Amino acid sequence: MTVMTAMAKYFHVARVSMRARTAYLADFLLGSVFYALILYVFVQLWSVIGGTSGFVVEGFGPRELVWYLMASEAIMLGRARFEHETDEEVKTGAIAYSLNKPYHYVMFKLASYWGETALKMALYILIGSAVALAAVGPIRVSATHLAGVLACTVLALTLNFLIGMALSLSAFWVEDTAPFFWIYSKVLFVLGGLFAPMEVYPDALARVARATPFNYVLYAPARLFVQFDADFLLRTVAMQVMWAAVLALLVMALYGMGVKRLNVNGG
Amino acid sequence: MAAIDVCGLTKVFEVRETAPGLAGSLRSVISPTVREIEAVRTISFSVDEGEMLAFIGPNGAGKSTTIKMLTGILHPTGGRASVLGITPWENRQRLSSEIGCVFGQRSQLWYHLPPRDTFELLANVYEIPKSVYRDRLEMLAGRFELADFMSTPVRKLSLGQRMRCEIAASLLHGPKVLFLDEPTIGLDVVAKRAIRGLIRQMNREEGVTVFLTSHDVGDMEELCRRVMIINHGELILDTSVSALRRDYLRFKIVRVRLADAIDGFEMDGVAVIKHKRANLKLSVDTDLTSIDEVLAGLMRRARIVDITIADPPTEQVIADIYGRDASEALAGR
Repeated sequence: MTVMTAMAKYFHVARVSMRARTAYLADFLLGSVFYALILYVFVQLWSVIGGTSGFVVEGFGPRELVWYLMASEAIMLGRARFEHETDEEVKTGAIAYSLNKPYHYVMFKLASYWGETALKMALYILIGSAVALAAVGPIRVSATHLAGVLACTVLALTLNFLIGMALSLSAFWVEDTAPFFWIYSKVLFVLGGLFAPMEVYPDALARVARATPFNYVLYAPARLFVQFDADFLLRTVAMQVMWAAVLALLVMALYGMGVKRLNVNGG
Repeated sequence: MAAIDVCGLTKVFEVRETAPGLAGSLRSVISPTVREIEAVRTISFSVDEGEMLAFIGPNGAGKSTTIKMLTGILHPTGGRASVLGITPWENRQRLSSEIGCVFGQRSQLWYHLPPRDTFELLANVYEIPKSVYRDRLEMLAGRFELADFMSTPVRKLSLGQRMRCEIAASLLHGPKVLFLDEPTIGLDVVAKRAIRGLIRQMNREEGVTVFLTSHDVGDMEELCRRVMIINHGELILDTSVSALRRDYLRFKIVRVRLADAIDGFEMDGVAVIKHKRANLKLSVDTDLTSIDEVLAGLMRRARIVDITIADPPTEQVIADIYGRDASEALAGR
């Protein structure tokens, strides 16, 4: 099997996943309203803080904070929610169909994740940019910066997938993985820097956050989008690649072990 | 040549047990009690190329576990198996291009998309050249009569339509062996007949080996020449369908509602299981009395309003097999 045919296979999986996602148009639009609402609330909050105390920390004033939130929330809400798939597949026995096809299960999930994520992200970025632009005006970005931010975002979303997949694969041992994902989303809130960049965090907490991969899922791409810095981009990409490699090894090890001890319900 | 060869295949599941009550739940978290369940116990058999084999048994007998080991989804605890010369759990991906699977209670179709999208995805996944895919899909769509709902989202299809799509999807890449796990479950009589006809046709025309699990005796009778019965993980019978029919399926269950109440009903080879005024449930030994004769006898007494004729349930067949084994063992002493 050549690399090209393998890639074509997974590309098609991504395409079908994207098409399937459009079936949930109502969910999709509702999610967009929720996203716009969060942005609106924070626009009000940062405007009040900025107006009363002239709030600016390391270059982050109310305008930058709104654009930061636009980017971090777009990633948070735009990432495909595949967390319940594996445990549902194990619980219902549908994994029998997922495993007996000539593709790698994890790669199939990754392709499917990207199909859905690409579509949702595009929509959230459009809506978010419109809200932020109307509320606080533009920030300065260039095409080169955006290319760097895009690369960093792709790696961030891949990291999110690998963390999610590692948690999902625990379904081979425990049947309900929902609590793990609940904890993960809360950890992303805090250590990921969902609502504010590390620059406004207390030093100790920022240091802890920077030592985790969660920081590279939300904070790093959102911060780059608002305050582009070539050194920061290089350091971030290096760390993202390092974490992705570690997590990919973990996912493959969990998958290898899990498949051997799989108990499919209903026989 | 054997398409499937199995020797001493065994699967043991570990099941955590929880004691009743909150205290029991907490205790099972700290020191869990694990019970081993032998789902499949050292079974051995082989299936020839082009053969249609029925693998029947009641719920929980080990049918699906066996099929999942033969398709490489489950790793066995012991024994060996080879499907088309490949050890399924060691080369699952390689084997998957050579076999097709239908799991009656699950779906491989994308729920919100029309079947055509799943077919196209599968063509890419199985790396079927475009022209081959077009011809194959046209052939399957014609044979399975899919054209009318090819563009309808799967969620809007009836169970029978969906099952036709499931089987067509599993045949798209021209598999040599088709594993069917309860393909007619939940279907009405007409849909069951259609599905069985299609499976028979694919076996005849393409020489596909069919390994069919079912707890519906009708699937076995209409499709297969050979049957294996599994119960509590053990193979208890490996015989021809005609021998099974002769030895164990000669009894039919006849439920009948008459226009008027009758006092009783007597005929050679007929046992009345239940009788309440105009409703009767009869067990008919077809070696002694044909169903025609029973119906004629009933119609002489009163007009028939409603009637169903069924095979005895698999559980009954198995009980009969055990009963016969026990009585043969006693006779041999």
